Amino acid sequence: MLLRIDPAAGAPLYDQIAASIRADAATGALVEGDRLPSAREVAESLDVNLHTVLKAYQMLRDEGLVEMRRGRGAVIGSAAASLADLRADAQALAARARELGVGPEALAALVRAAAQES
Amino acid sequence: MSVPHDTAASRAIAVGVIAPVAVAATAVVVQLLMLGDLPDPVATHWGPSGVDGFAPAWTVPLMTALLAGGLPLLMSAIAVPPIRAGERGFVLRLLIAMAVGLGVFLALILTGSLVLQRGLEDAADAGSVLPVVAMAVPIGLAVGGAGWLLQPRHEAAPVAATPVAPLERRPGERTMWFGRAEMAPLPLGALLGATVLLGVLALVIGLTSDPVAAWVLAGTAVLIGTLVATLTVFRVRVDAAGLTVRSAAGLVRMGVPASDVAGVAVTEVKGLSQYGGFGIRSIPGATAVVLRSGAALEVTRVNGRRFVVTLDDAGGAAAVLAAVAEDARAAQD
Repeated sequence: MLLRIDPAAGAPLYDQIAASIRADAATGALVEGDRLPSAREVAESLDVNLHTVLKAYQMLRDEGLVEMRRGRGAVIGSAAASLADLRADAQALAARARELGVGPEALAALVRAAAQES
Repeated sequence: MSVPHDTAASRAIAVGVIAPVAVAATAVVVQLLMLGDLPDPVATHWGPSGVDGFAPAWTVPLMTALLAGGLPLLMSAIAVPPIRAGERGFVLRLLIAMAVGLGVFLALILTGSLVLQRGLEDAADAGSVLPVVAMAVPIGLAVGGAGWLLQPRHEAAPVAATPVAPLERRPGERTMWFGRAEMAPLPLGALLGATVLLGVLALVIGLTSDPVAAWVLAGTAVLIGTLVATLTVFRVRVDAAGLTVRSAAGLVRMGVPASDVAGVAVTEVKGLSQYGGFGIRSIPGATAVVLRSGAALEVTRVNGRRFVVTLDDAGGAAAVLAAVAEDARAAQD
């Protein structure tokens, strides 16, 4: 799994860490049952505060993408399969948006609005 | 024939499979023919002061089939499939030679121990088994040597390593790659099964007969269990510091600092033929953590030595390591 953060980017670091893990789950690089590195290890590697990583893991847990298991640490949960399932739909939607000249930001806003409607 | 004849494979089968089976079968037939002349039970174990173990006579041909026939076949079962698949290596050729040598040695020991007892009323009167051993050891070694020479020289095929381009990153962007090098489920299960079996065996033997043997078995079980726990799963991390490989139990820590990385590539490793087996391996010019055959990350150090670790996503790890190595070089200049 690949984590990447850019301190110069606008988004908070915990959002960026969570987004990296979501992206790996969406591509199938991370599947249900895969163990994540400990929050301390990630904090050390990326040179960020431990609480930043814990907050990212917490967010993912609330989404069902990560489960916290006693003794095993953070493990990828069942929501990863659903995310991977949606990947083909997302790619088709993105291709259609490119055809119509709709940019990534507008498309993301559209999807977010649609997801929040129901 | 359109398919070129594979001498290494056909010789491996002749030396490592057909020969040991023929030897074991001959030994079993010879022993069965002798059964009428033998005391029953026969002596099966010799201590410093003569015979100290007995068993029904029919168990010796059975043991011969299982040991002199089974053990060489087990070794050939490990070596022949890779040889047929085109792999070449010192260990593969050696395993085949050892299979036939061991088979002959065991067949001679077991048959010889019965020859000693022909015509005896009581197996306790059997003479020393040492002359049999003294004859079986050199013959076994000689046959093993012949088994080595009968096989063609194994020329190692050159291994292709594909250099990997660094991951593209924005200035100031930080990256971490995390993965695991794991043994395939099947061999891992076999190892765990063997450990449990040894533990159970130790318990049974300890309760019924020999406490010393039980301790030896229990010790072996604990040792294998520890090795399984420490050496079958490695956590692999690539970050600004470089490559870090740690065994799951945390006992072993290896790696290459970013500043020591001269080149990063992905390669395909063959455990037996390239590294002589699995685990933490050291061969001239390279150190490797090889848990299965297949995709691997290959790092070349500044001094030219290579460090190799098997990873499913070797390409992903390589791209990140190449990027951080670039940063480390830039920082040094």
